[in-house]
Amino acid sequence: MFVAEKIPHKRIEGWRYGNPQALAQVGASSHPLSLLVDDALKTHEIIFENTLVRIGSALINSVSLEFSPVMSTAKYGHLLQEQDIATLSIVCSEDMSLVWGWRTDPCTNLSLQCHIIVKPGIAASISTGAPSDQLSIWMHRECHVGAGATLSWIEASTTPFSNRLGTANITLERAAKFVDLDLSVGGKFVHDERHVYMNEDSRAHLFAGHLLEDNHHRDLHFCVRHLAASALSSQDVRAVVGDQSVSGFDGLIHVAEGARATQAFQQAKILLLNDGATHHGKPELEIFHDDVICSHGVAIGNIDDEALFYLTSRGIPEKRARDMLLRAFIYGLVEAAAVELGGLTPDDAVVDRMLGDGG
Amino acid sequence: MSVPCLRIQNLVVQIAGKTIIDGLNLDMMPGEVHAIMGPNGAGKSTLAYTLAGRSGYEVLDGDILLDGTSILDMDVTERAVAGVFLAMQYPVEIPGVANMSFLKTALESLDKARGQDKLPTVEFMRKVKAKARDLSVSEDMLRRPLNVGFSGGEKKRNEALQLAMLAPKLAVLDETDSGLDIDALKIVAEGVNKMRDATRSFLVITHYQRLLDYIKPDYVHVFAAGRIVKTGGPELALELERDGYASFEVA
Repeated sequence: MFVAEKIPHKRIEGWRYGNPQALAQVGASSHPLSLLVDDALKTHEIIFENTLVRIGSALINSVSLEFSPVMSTAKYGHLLQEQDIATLSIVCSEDMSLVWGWRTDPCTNLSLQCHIIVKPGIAASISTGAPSDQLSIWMHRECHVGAGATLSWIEASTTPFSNRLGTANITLERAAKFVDLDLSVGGKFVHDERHVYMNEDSRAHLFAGHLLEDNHHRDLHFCVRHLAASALSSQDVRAVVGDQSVSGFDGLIHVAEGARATQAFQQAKILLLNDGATHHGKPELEIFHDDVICSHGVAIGNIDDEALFYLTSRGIPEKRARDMLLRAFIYGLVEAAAVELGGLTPDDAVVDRMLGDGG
Repeated sequence: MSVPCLRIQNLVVQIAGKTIIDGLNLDMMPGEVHAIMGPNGAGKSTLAYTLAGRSGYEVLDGDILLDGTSILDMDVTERAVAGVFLAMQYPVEIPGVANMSFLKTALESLDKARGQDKLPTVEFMRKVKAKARDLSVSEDMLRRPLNVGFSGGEKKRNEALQLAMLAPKLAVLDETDSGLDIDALKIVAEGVNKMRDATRSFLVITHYQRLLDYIKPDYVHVFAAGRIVKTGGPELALELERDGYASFEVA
C-alpha cells in the first residue's frame, strides 16, 4: 500500500517517536470497494466487509462511495502509490447515529478517505467498532460541521497487530461542536492526527486513551486552532505504556490573532508500567491574542503505590488490583467524555477488551 | 492453653535505613482488645503498616505470628487472606473504582483464597446494606468511587464498613479517631464493639484516651522509641491523658 522510499525518516518532526518503515511492510493494495444496501443491517449501520461497504437502508441518500485522487488536504497522501482511493462521503441532513463496523479478513489492507458533512443544526454521531486483527488502515477524514451542528465520534481499536495511519481535518462553523473519544489498544505502528479548525463560539473536546504493551507504538498529534472568538476546546489524553512500547503525544493549542475570549485546555496523564516503556510528550501553546484562558499539563508516573496497597490489603490479588486501577484510569477518561457525548459511551466490551474485566 | 492471635517477638523494623521499631514484643490472645498509645513519631503507624505487610518496611529481626504461624514471608494479599485487616489512618481515594464493586471484589477474593463459596449477589447486597445502615454509610456512598470526596468521618465509617464486611481475625485500627467528630466516633466504636467476640482481636492505635471511652481495651500499652515501655489496664490511658507522654519520650 505504501511506497517505501517516500516514507520520511523517523527523525523528521512528527515521525520521530517510532519507525514508520513498518508501514512499508504493509504490502498489497487495498481491495476495490463497492457499496451495497443491505436490508439485514440496522438502518444506520455501515459495515466494511472485504470488498463491500454494506449500508443500512436509511443511509441510501446519505452515503456514497467513489474512487478519487488523494485529497489535497490529506497530509500523508504522498506516501501512497499513485492510484485513486476509495472515498466514502456521508452527508448528515438529519439527526443520526451511525454505527460503523468491520468484518474484514485478517491481514487485509484498506486505504480510505472519508468526507463527512454535517448540515447546520444537525446532531450526528459515529461509533466505530474494532477492526479485525492485523487489519492495516490508511484513513483520512475531512469533516465539515455546519453552524450549530454537532459531530460526535467514538472510535475503539483493539487490534494490537495492525498498522494504522489516520489523519483528520475537522472544520467547525459558528457554534458547532465536535467530540472525539478514541480508545486504542496497541498497534505495531500507529500514528494518528487530528487538526481542528474552530470558528466563533464552537466547541471541541478531544479524548484519547491508549494501552500499549510488547513493542507497540502509537503517537498522537492534536492540533486545535482557535481562529475566531469565544471558542472552547479541551484535549484529554491518557496512556498506559508497558514493556518496550512507545507512546507519544504532541498537543498544540493555537490561538489566532483576534480569537478573543478563547478557552483552551490540554492535559495528558501517562502511566509507565516499567523501565523499558517510553512516552514522548510535547505540549505546545501558540497564542497571538491576549484575552484568552489556556492551560496545558502532562503528568507521568506509575500506578499509585498507596492505591495498590489499599486494594491488596483487602485481599484483592495484586494483578487484579492493578487491572482495577488501570481500568479506573481509562474509565476516568470515558466518564469525562460521556459528559460531552451526552451519555453516548463505548460499549463496555471495548473497555473489557482493553483492560480485562477488572471485576 | 490457647495460641495468641498475634505474637510479636523482638521485632526490629527499618524504613530507608532508619530503625523505627526496635525490639518490640507483644502477645494478644483471641478476643482481646489492646490499645497502643504514644507520642508522634513513636512508630505506631510503622507497626500498623508492618503488620499489613506494606513494602518499604524492612523487618531486620524478630517475627510476627498470627495464630502461631509466621506471616513475615506473606505478601499484603496473603496477610489479608490470613485474617489481618488494617483500618487506615488516611484511606486513599481511588477514582473510577466504585465502593460497592470494590467491597464485592474484596469479599469474593477472600472467599476464593480461603476455599469458601462465593456469597450470592442478593445476599451480598442484603448484607452490605444492613451493615452500611448500622454505620450510617449512605447508599450514595456505596455507589460513589472509593473514598472520593468523602469527608474525614465518611472515610472512617467506610473503613468500619469494610471491617464489618470482611470480618478479619485481627483488626488494626490506625488512629481511627483522627478526623472524627464525637457522633461519628460513637458510630464507628459501636461498629467495632458489635464485632467483638472470643475469636477476634483488635489492636487500637491512638493518641487520645477519648476513643477508649467507647472501645474498652483489655490492655493499654505505651509505645515510645519503637517499643512498648509500659503496659497497664484502661486506667493507664487516663493517666496518659492527664500527664502526657513526656516522661516516656527518649531524648
